[in-house]
Amino acid sequence: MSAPDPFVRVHGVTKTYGAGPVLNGLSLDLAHGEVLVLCGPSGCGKSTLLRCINGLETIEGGSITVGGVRVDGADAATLQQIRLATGFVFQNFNLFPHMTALENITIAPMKIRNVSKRQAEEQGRALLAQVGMPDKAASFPFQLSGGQRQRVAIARALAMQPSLMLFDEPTSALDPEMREEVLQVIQRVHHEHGMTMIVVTHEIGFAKSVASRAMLLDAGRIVEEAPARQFFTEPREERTRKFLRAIVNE
Amino acid sequence: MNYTFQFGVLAEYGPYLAGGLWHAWWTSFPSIILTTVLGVVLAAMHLTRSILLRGAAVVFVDLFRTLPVVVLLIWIHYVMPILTGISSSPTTSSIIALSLNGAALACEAFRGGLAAIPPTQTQAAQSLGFSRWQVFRYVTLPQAFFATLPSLTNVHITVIKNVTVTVLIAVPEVMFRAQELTIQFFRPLEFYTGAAILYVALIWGYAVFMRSLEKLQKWQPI
Repeated sequence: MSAPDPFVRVHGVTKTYGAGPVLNGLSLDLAHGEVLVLCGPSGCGKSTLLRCINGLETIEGGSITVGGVRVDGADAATLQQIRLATGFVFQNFNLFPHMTALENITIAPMKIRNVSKRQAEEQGRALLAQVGMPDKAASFPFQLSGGQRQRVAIARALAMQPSLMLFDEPTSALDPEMREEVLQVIQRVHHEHGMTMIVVTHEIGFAKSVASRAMLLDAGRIVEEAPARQFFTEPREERTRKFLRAIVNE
Repeated sequence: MNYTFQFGVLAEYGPYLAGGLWHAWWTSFPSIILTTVLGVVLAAMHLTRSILLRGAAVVFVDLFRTLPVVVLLIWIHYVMPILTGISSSPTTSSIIALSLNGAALACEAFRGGLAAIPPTQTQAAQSLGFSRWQVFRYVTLPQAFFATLPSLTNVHITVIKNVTVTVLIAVPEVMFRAQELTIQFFRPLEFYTGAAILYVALIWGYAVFMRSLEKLQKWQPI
């Protein structure tokens, strides 16, 4: 009997920006319910990888499938299906500034899934409560703190009931105090929904408690891949040890 | 200076002159609406993947912002009927000419406003599953609208000012009536000054209205 197909499969992916390769023949498999933490120095390709998995960037070589559907080279309709099944949380939140927190959450279900306004708002309020902001429904993004903005962004992604969540450095634009509130929300989302996640982060404590696997990327290649606990406590590679020392000293 | 002011004639014929404002407004108002709608459509055409639509938008803008309004107006009113056999009223011809010219200007204003929206907004919307059209309709255009308002106001003011050239095809707006009265009474200073005051009042009032729209923006960019 063969193992079940992985939920996310990245196979031999290459991608170049101008001078050099950003992703250099990168491969990884992710099973349902797994949480993968990606680390690496800036420019190592970790954000690009997430964007490729969401079809926000095109790749030059290799293939990417999500839920058995090919992402690279997909037509607009297929790409939309993949994006509907995938939630993306950005480093800089990217909330829609002209909509309230609640509208940010309800717009996609209403316009894409044709959910009624009443139903979308009911779900939206429940999600706001889930991310600990039940009283901020009517606030515009400019009235919210960074941590609150990121929590709304997470609720916005969850509103489409994705089966995969991609987090691109969700806390690196935040003050240390606000990081904790966002990390707790991500942790709760994982526990409550058992959702498959890829998280680009350097938060070691968070990674150890939530991630099933961790990976270090450098220059578009995987340097080391290991179960999270092992990765952070006893890494095999000297490059990983050096990197972990650097982020601890940050 | 050898001229005796007789602003008294304005007391008598001022109402007739001011009545031209009615025609000025009903020529400029439909033109402003058409200018704005066409401007948005042209700006949207610039953003499509279709080379045909983008090309059409570029040709439209380059043609109608380079054509002097007077040439365009005379051409539409006197040449079009020869070509097509369809003639239109002076007011309709004027609305067409002013709208074509205004739309080319409005397109560029909207393009400027849209370019100011960070591409990350589009990415966030796409990652939620929005189509390109939905991204434009719900995310970038509503944000660009407020960013475009000041330059859109300038475009609208240009459209209103251009109404004065319709004097050439006898739309009975303020300038036409000032000319008419001057020929009759030989009082150019009084009547043209009256026309100036009426247009300034109309355009100033319009600008105040447009500025009040800016206050509708309850959010701030982040």
